[in-house]
Amino acid sequence: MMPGVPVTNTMITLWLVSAILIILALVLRRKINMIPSGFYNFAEWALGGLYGFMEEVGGKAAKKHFSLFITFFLTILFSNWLGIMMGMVAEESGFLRAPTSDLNTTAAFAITAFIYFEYQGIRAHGAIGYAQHFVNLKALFTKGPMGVIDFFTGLLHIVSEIVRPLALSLRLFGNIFGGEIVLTVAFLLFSAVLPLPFMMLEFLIGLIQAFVFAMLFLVFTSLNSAHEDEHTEPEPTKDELPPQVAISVG
Amino acid sequence: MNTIAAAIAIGLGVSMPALAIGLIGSRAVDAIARQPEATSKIQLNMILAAAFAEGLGIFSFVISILLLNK
Repeated sequence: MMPGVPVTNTMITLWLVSAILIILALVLRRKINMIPSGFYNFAEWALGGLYGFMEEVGGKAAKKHFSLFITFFLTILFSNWLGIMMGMVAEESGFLRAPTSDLNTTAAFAITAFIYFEYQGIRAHGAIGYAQHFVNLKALFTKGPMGVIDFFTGLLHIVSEIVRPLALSLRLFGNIFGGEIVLTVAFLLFSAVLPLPFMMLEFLIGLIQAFVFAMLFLVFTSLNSAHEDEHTEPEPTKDELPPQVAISVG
Repeated sequence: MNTIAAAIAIGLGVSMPALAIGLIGSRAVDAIARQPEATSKIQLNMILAAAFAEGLGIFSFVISILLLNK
């Protein structure tokens, strides 16, 4: 942190990330064309690939979450990569370092995601219907002994719901912060060639972690907003895998 | 004492998620070998499952850092 000023070095990097993203968006907007070429072509290919991934996980209904999904992905990706490119160390004394190596930033991202997918849950089921997910009094009184089991699984859902933002923020923070520590140690040991493979690894981890954060956000959102009683999607055929993994606590 | 505690926490806490991620990866490769046309879906689910397993390792990492800074 800079002395005396409540502006941290991670905040400056985050502003830099925002500036880069806004400039990219403005530049790409002017080049919209039916026949793509050059960098615009690459951007269109990347966005199209991400959209395909998103549709595989969330189905067609996930289309309305795409804007927040892509915002999370791009912001985290650019933060991670900017952190490595500027030769940052995992200390607070540096002028710039990766925003995601600060728990405050990742917690802000995770809380935003948490509020969004809770809101989607309430919007899909109604406030009472959504609360019944967790405190299932109806099953307790109507279903008899099996209702007791339903009631306690509902209580377990509360825990898994609370752990989600915690795990999201800690996963991102731990990966990037740990990576920076590894890079710092590698630089201290032998600064000529030794850090290079670690930097390659960190670039890969930055990409994967951005993808994982955005994907988990999407999975939680589509789990919360899924209607259990109305199946509009066709049943998966025999050679097709079910679209989602079973999500447990953690 | 805190240093030893942090070393034990990170050592034990990372070994189990390592096993889990190894199992996830090996099963995913098995599945891809059996059904190459489902590669993209298997990879997607593999990355998600690995992220859950890895999150547990990250917990122990955070705890060991907390122990060291105490």
